[in-house]
Amino acid sequence: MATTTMLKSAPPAPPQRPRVALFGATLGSIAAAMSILSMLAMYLARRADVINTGETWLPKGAALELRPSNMLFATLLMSAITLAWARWALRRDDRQNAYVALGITTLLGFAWLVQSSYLFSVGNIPVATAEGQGVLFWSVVGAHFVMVLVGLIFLGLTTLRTLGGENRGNPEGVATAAVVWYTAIGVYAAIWFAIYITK
Amino acid sequence: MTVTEHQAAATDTGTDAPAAPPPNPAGGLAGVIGTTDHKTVGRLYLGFSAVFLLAALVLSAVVDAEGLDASGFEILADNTFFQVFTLSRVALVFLGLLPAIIGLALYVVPLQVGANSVAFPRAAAASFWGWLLGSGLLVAAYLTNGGPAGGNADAVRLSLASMLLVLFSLALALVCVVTTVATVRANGMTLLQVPVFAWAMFVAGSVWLLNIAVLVGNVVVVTVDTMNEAVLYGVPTVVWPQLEWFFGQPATLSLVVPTLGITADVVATMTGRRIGRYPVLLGTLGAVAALGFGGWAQTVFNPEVATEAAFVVLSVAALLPALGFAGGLADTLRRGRPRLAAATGLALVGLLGGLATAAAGAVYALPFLNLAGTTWHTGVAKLAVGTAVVGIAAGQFYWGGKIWGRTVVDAAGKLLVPVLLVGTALYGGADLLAGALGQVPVGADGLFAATADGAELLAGLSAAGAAVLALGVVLIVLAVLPAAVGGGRPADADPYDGHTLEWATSSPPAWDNFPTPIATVGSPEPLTDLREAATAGGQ
Repeated sequence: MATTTMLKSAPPAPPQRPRVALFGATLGSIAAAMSILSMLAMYLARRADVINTGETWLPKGAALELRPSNMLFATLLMSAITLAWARWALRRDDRQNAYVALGITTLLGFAWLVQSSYLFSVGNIPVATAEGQGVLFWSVVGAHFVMVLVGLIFLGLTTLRTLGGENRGNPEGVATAAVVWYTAIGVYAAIWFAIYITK
Repeated sequence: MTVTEHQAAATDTGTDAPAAPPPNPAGGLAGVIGTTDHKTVGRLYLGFSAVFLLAALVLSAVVDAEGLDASGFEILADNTFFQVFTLSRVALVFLGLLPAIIGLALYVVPLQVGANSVAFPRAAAASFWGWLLGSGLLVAAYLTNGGPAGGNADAVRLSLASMLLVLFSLALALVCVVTTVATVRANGMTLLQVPVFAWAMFVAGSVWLLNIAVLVGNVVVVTVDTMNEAVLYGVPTVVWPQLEWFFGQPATLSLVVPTLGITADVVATMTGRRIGRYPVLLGTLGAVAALGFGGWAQTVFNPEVATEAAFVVLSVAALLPALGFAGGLADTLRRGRPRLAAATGLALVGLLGGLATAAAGAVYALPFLNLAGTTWHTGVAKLAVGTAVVGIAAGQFYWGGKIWGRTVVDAAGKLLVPVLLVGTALYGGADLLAGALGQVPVGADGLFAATADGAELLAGLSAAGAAVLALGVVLIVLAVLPAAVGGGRPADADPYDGHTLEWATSSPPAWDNFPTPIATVGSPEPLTDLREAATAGGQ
C-alpha cells in the first residue's frame, strides 16, 4: 500500500523540543553514578566484614583527615551554586554574569582536582593491603576522580562555547554539563560520608 | 476520523531531532569506516555479532559436551576448560546477543519512532568500532592464556581491559538507542505510543545500562587488584564469581524483553489487528524489564541471596507481567487470522521462550524446591539465551527486507522455527532437568562433578541444544546473506500492510530515513490510521 504517498499530504505539526543532549547526558551520568556506587557498596560490605572480625578497617598509617575532605566537599558545593548562577544568568541572556559564573565553576572544579591529588598523596593508603581496603578505596575515589575530570572537561567546553555566543537565552548546553556535574557532586556526597566521615 | 493533520507542504520532518548526517561522500570500505548512518552501523553490528554468536554457541556446546563423561576432561585440557567455559559465557552475551539486539535496534528503532537518524550518530558509530576492537582484544587475550583464571598475567590484564572497552562501547550504544526513543520521536507520538520493539529497547536498554554499570564496577575492582598483588578480588578463582551474576537470575530476564517486543510487533502486523489495551501491554513489558535488574543479586557478596525474601518475591512477581503480556498478544491473535510467515512462527516461539524463562525463574526462587545452587540457575539463563536468538531471527525475517533492501527467503525462516524451538528447549531444558535432580553447575575451579543420576546424559542434551542453536544461527546467516550481498528481488516498502512508521519508507530507507514529512502521530498504529482515513474519505 502506498503509505509513502499518503505521508506526502500529511506534513508535520510544530516542532517539539527534544533535549537530546540533556537526556543522553542524564543517562550517562546515572550509569556512571551506578558504577561508582556499586563499588562503594563493595567497599562498605567489605568494611563491615572486617570490622565484624574485630579488626580496624583502615590500614595502619592511613591518614584520611576530615578537614581536607570537608574542604573538598565544600568546594564542590560552591561550584554547584556558581553553576546554578550561570544557568540563571543564561536564561536571562546576561552574558557577563554567565561568563563569570562559568569561569568560577571551572576554577573550583580544577581546585577540587588539585586538592584531591594532595589528599591522595598524603593519605598513605597503599593499593595492596591484606584486607582489600586499598583496592576498594582507590577504585572508588579513582573512578570518581575520572568522573569529575570528565565533568570538568565538559564544563570547560561548554564555557568556551558560551563565550563563543552559543547558549544565549537557551541554557540547555549548560544544563547538560550541569547534569554531569551535579551527579558527580551527589556521588561525592556519598563517598564523603561513607569513606571520610565513617572511616 | 483522521489522526493526522493535513497542512501546507513543509520542508522538514517536524521533529527537532538532531539533523541527520549528510550522505557520506566516500564509498567502499572508507565509506563504511567513516559512516555515521545508523543503518550501516546497525548492519555492521548484526554481521559481526553473528560470527561471535556462532563461535560462542559452538564453545558452549563443547563445554557441555565435556559433561558427557564426568570422570575427566575428554575434549579440552583441564587447564583450558575453565577458560573456554568463561569465554563461551562472555562471548554469548557481550559479543553475540547484546550487540546483535543493539544492531537490530540501531537500525529499526529510529525508523519506528519516525526519526531522521539515531540520537548521537557519531557515538553510535564509535560504539561499534570500540566494541569490535574490544571484542578482538578479548579473544586475543584468551588465546594468550588470559581470562578470569588465566596463567599469563599480562593477558589477564588485557582481557579485563578489553572487557571494559566492550562494556563501555555497549553502554554508549544503549545510550543512543534509549535517547532516540525518549527524545526524537515523530510529532504527536507519546512514549506510550511507540512501537512495542522500540519500547522494549527503551526499557530493556535502560536496565542493561544499569546492569552494565554495576558490572563495570566489578571489573574495575578486579582490574585494580589484578594490577597490584591480587590480594582479594583479583585472585584467579574469585574473578569469575564476581562477573557471573550477569549470566544468571534475574539479569538474564532482561535478555528476553526485546524478543517479546519483536513478538508483539510481528503479531500485530501479521494479524492486521491493533493491540488492545496498548499502554497496559507496554506496562507489563516494562515490569518484566525492571525485574531484570540483577546488580543487587551477586552471590559472591551474598551467597544466600537466592533464598532471601526480596529475591523470591521479585522472581515470582516477574511471571505475572509476563503472563499479562502473553494474554494481551493472545487476545490480538484471537481477533485476527495471522499470516503464516516465518516471522510469525519465530515470534510465537519467542513468546513461548520468554514465558518459559520467566516461569523457570519464578520456580527457581521458590524456597521449598531447594533449587538454589543447582544447574536450574544456568538452565534459566540458557532459556533466555535461546529466546534472544529466536528474537534476533524473528527480527531478521520481519525487517529483513527493510534492513537489507532485498527480500529474505521466507522458507528458510519457516525451517528455523522447529530448529530454534528444539535448540532452545534442549539447551535450557536439559539444565533445568539436571537442576531438578540436584546437579550443581561448573564451579570456579573448573570442575564438572556429576552429582546426580542422569547428569551426564543431560549435559550431552544441553550440548546438543547449543549445537542446534548454532545450526540455527548458520541458517539465519545463510538466509540473510543473499539479501545482504544484493541478491534476490528488491523488497517492498510495506509488504505486510504494517502499522508502524518503519513501513512508511522505502526498503532500504534513504539516508535521512523519511524524505517526505511525517504526519502528526496520534496512535500506536499511525499507518493503519492513515489507511482507515483514506478508506473513510473514499466512501
